[in-house]
Amino acid sequence: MPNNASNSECLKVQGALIVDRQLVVENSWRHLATEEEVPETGSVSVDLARWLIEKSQLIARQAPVAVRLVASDDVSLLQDDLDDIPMVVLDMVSYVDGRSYTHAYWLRERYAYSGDIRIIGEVYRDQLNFLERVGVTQFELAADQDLQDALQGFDEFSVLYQPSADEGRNIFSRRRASD
Amino acid sequence: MYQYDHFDHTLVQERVAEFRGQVERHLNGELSAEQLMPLRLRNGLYMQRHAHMLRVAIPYGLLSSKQMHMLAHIARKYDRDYGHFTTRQNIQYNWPELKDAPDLLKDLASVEMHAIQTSGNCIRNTTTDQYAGVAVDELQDPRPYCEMIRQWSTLHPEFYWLPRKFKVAVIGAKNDRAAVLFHDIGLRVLKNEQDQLGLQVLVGGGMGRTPVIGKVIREFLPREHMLSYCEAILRIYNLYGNRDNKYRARIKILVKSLGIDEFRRQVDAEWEQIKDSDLLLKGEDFERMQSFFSGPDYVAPSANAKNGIDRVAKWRALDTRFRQWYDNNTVEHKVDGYRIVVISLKEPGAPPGDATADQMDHIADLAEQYSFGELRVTHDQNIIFADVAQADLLELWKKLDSQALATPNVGTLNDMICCPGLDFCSLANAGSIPIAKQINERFDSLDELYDIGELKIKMSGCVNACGHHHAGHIGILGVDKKGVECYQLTLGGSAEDDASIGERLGKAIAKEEVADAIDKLVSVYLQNRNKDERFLDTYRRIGIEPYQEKVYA
Repeated sequence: MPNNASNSECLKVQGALIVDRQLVVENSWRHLATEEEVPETGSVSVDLARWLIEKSQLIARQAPVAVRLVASDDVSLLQDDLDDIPMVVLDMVSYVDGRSYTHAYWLRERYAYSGDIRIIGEVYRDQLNFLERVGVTQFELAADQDLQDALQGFDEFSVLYQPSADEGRNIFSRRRASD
Repeated sequence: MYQYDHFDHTLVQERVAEFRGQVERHLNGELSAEQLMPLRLRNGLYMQRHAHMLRVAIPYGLLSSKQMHMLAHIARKYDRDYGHFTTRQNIQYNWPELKDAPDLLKDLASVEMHAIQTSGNCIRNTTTDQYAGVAVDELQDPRPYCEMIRQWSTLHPEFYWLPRKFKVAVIGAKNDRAAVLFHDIGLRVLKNEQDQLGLQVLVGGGMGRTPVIGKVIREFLPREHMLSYCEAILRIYNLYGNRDNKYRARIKILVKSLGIDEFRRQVDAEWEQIKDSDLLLKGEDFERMQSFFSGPDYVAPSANAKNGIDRVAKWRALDTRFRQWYDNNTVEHKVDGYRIVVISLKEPGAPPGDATADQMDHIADLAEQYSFGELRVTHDQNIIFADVAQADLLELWKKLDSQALATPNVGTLNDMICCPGLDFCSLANAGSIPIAKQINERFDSLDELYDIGELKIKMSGCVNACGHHHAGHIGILGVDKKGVECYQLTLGGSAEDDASIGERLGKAIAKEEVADAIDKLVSVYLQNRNKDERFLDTYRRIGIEPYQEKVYA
C-alpha cells in the first residue's frame, strides 16, 4: 500500500499498541511461537495447545503468561483457568473472520472474565470500535496504521442499537426508559 | 410507517461520516482497494462488471413518496436516470462513482434511508409480505417485527463478519408471501392457544447453489424473546459456520451437518444464558412500534365516491384494457371500498424491475395523491400502492397508463423475476435480461397469458440464485458451457406455503431456444390441465416426463 508523501509526518510504528484508548509506545508482551521456549522473565503469551498441556508450570512461572486463541480455537476450554490468566490474546489471523468477536463476548459475558483481552494480527482502525464493544481492551495494530487517526476509530458512533459486552443497551429498553 | 427518532438520525449520519472518511483514506492512498472492499460492501457498494453498483436498503420494502422522489433524484444525479428494484425489496444503481458515494448516502440519510449492510457477510435487510397491514388473510402485521430486527441487527458488533451473508424474513399472514422457508431465519407471527403472540422460528432455508427448505427450530417463541433467540442463532452460526469454503458457509449447511436437533440444542443452550438479558422485549415495545404502522385513516365511501365506484364498474364492463388491468393488477383489500394496486415493472422490452427516474417521480406523485403517500417494493420486483380508494381506480389507471406503468401482466408468465445477469453482474455466467425479452416477445398476447394463468418464471444468471430460480414454477438458470451461454430449466419450484425446490428438466439448452422451450412446457400444461388447475398443480400431478419428452423430442 503506497503511503502518500503528505502523510509522512504521521506516526507509523510496527506493532503499536493502544490500551484504554491511549497509545502505548512500549509493548512489553512477547507472543511466543509454538516451538519457542518460554523465557524465564518477561510477559509472554502462549498458544492454547501449549497452555492446556503445560498450564501448571506456566501458572507457577514468576512472570505473567497470557493465553492466545486463534479464531478456530474453542474458548470454552479456558473457562476454568481464567482466574489464573492475566490476559487473553485473540489472534486475528484474518480480519474477515468474525469468530474472535464472539470469543471476546463470551469471555466477558458468559465467563465474567475481568482480565485484559488483547487483539493482535490483522487489526485495523475500522474494526476498533466493534472490537471494543465486544470486550477487547488492548489493540496491537497491524503495521502501517496511522496511529493518531486510528484513535479516532473508537469514536465513530455515539448511538448503539444493541447490548454487547459494553455499556450498549437494547435500543428498545433505552427508549422505554426515556419515556 | 416508521419515523426515525434522534437515535436513528444520529446513527445514520455518523455512518455516512465514517464512510466518507474511509473513502477519503482510500483516495489518499492510506487504505488499499483490498482493505476498502469489505468496508464499502457493508455500505452497499459493489464493484461490478463495468462500474460500481450501489444497493440501497428499503426496509421491508416500504417507502414514502418523499423517499421515492429521492430515489429518482439519486438516479438522475449519480446514475444514468434509472434504478433496478430487486427481489429483496431493495433498489440498485448500476453506475455511481466511488467518490460520489458518501454524498449519495448523505442524500439518502436526509430522507431516513441508508445502504447499511446491504451487502457483505453480515445481516441483511429484513423482508416481508408486500401486502402487510392490508391483506385479507393477515393475522398480525409483520412490519413492527421487521423494524425491530432491523435496528437490533444494524452495526451489531459481533455479527459484522459472519461466515456468509444472512437474511431474515417475517410473515404475519395465512399465506406465505415472504418466502420464509427460503431464508436463513424465517419468522411466522402467530398466536398460541392461550392467545399469546409469538413466532414460529424457521432456520437454514436458502437458495444459492444448494437450495434448502428451512426447518422449524422452535414452534412457538413468545415474541418478547425475538431478539435474544435470533442472537443465539447468530452466535452459534458465527462460531461454527464453515469459513473455509464460501459455497458451504451459509447457515443452511451448518444446520444440515449438525442436524436440526443438535443445532437446536446448541442454540437453546446459548439462549438460556441471554434470554432474560437486556434483549428481552416488552409488550409496550411492540405496541409502540405497531403505532407507526397503524395504517391511514380510511374513509367509508361517500355518496360522491359511490358514483366513482359505479363508474369503475361501468368502465370494467366497457373497456377491455381497464378490465384487464383491474383484474390482474389490483388485489382485494381488508377495508371495504379500497383495493391494493400493483404497478408492473415488467413492461415488455424493459429489463424486469427497472424504473426510470421519471417513472419513479410519477409513481411518487401518484402515491401521494392516491395512496396516502406510501408505496412498497415487492419481491417480484413490482411496486404496490396499498391503499387506493375503489372510486379512484379509473383515474389512477389512466395516469399510470400514460407512463407505461399499467401493463396488465401481474401474476402472468411475463411477470418474471430476473436478476441483472451478465449485462451488469460480475458473478453472472449468462444473460438474464435478454432471455426475459425473448420470452416477452414470444408471449405477446394478453389473452394467451390470461389463459395460461398463474405461472411464475424465475431466472438467475448464475448459481447464486438472486433470481430465485429454484422457487420458480419454471426456473431458468444461466450457465456457461465452454464460453457459451446456456440455460438450465427446472420445474415445480414454489416459495410459498407449499414450498418446493424445482426439479431439473434435463440438459441445458441454447440461448436462442429458451422461449421455444417455455412454449413447449406451456403446451404440455395446456393439453393436460384440469379445470382451474395452475401450471404448478398440473406439473405436480403428472410429473416431469411429459415435459421432458416435449422439450427434448
